[in-house]
Amino acid sequence: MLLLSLAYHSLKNRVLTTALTVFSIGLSIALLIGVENVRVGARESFANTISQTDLIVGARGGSLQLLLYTVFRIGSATNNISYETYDHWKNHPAVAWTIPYSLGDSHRGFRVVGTDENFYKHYRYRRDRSIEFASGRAPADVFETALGSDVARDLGYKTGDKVVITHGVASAAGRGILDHKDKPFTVTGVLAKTATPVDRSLYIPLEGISAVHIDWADGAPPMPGEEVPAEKITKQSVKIDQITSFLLRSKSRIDTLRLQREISTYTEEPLQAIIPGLTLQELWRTIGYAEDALTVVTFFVTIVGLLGMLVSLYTSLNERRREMAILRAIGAGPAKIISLLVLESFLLSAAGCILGVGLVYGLSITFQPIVEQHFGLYVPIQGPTPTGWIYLGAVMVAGLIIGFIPAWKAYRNTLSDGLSVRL
Amino acid sequence: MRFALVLLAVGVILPAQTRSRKAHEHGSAKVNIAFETAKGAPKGVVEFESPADSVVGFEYEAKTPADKAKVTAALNTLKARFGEMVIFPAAAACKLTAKSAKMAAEHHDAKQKGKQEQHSEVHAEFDIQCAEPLSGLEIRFGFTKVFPKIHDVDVALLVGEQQSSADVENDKGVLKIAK
Repeated sequence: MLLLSLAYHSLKNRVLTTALTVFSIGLSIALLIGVENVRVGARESFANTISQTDLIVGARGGSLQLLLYTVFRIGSATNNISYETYDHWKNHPAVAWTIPYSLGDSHRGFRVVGTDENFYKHYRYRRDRSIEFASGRAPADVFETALGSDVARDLGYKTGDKVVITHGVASAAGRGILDHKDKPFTVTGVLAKTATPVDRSLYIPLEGISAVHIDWADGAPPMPGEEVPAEKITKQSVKIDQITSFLLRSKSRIDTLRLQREISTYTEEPLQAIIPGLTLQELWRTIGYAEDALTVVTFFVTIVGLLGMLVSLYTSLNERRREMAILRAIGAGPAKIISLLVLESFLLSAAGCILGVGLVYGLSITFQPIVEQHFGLYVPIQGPTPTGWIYLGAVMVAGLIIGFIPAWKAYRNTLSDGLSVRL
Repeated sequence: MRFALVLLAVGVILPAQTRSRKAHEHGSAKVNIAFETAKGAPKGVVEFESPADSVVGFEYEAKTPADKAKVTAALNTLKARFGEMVIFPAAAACKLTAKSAKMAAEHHDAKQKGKQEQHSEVHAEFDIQCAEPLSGLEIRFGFTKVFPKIHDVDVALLVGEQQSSADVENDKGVLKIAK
């Protein structure tokens, strides 16, 4: 108890040095725990880009490719699937619901997704969050569209605006690609921010995708005079021939495996069904080297922080020679001197850890919405992860061990030297 | 014209379907585990799939009594010792019941050319019933102890909303069930 009091008062006596040392360790810890939280958050955000979907079904090809074009709107499908096939699986007794996606068109660099009301009703992300509208409503008629929040923000659209979609996938400038100018879409709603790829698409009814191509022949726009005016097209008059892929929810998780097997061996059309969580893991493993690099960098930052503590304690010993000498003169043995300095070092690292964790919490609470808004990264506000606790424990132990170096030096300084007037 | 296109489509797509083959890699296997939930007394299914060579020791059709006996013995071992291959946590007190286990020929591609090339696979399905919740527990593996040739296994786990996988090499790998 006496040692603790001595250590406390000794540190308090050098308040500026102590504060700077604690701050330096605190920053290192904040960086270490913060990066760990961001790493876990990035992985969780990534894994929860899509939730409560048991299977993603598309034309046979690569599983990553199917995931990329269906969930992330990256790349394109090599083949579509017929609507009859979709209808077959949609009405399968083991299937709870399906969400069809028809891809291939775009608007100023954003993908256009043809889907149906099930998307607004059943799509889930980040475990159980559903699609909500920041304004307006879901499209109901053929030439209506709902915008992802990034689309509305970046292009400055609002409910009631007219949007012309482009044939094929175009860049933001959209030059050289045919626009479906004669069949504009009216914005009926803007989706609330999800911080997932949902934000970067326009959503139109499946019939809308067929309707804009209704008068096209052999992949070319209609000849003059052969156009079908938009006013003459109704939802009922449009036939949907094909879709690109669909999301599927089975009635029971146990059915998922059986359905996946049945879909993969479906003889009418070559299909593949992937379990999104497993393919997302596969993708994360492929791109996850970056997180290792981050961990290595923060590990070195923490070492620098601890070395800073060592330097601070070591250099302060010169100022404290007399203090140590007096302590020894009044009977403090080498063990007491060593214990005192090790305890000081431990207290500094403990205070640094507490400050670091506090900083992480403070910064997380302050910047979470901004990070989510700008980077689409949801960093959960939570205590240190199991790995984070290991880091904290390691820093405390390192602080304890580092304390022995100045302690040894203090012990070696001679009593006479410490009490000499020459100092 | 349309009819011709339909015929063309049938000609192109149908053979592609009937001739498509699953990947067949000796030494590897696949295990799928699915539970409706990890809470209460979880009930689920476990599927196992492996090239027959790793389980039975050969892939040709068993015709002699000796070969048939080898197949029966291997499948019985698989059924009886599957709990040592996929080790469910003892705390959950899970009971595996073999639903089916069979050796099935995959294809006979080269037969027409006079060769006897054939691949066979072993498929097995188990029901699993646990007495205690699985939440927060771990599934471990011991394939090589039962069938030494199985050293690389892709394991997929579906529990409620959890979708996880593990690449189990030489029995090293753990699948943690979420809380």
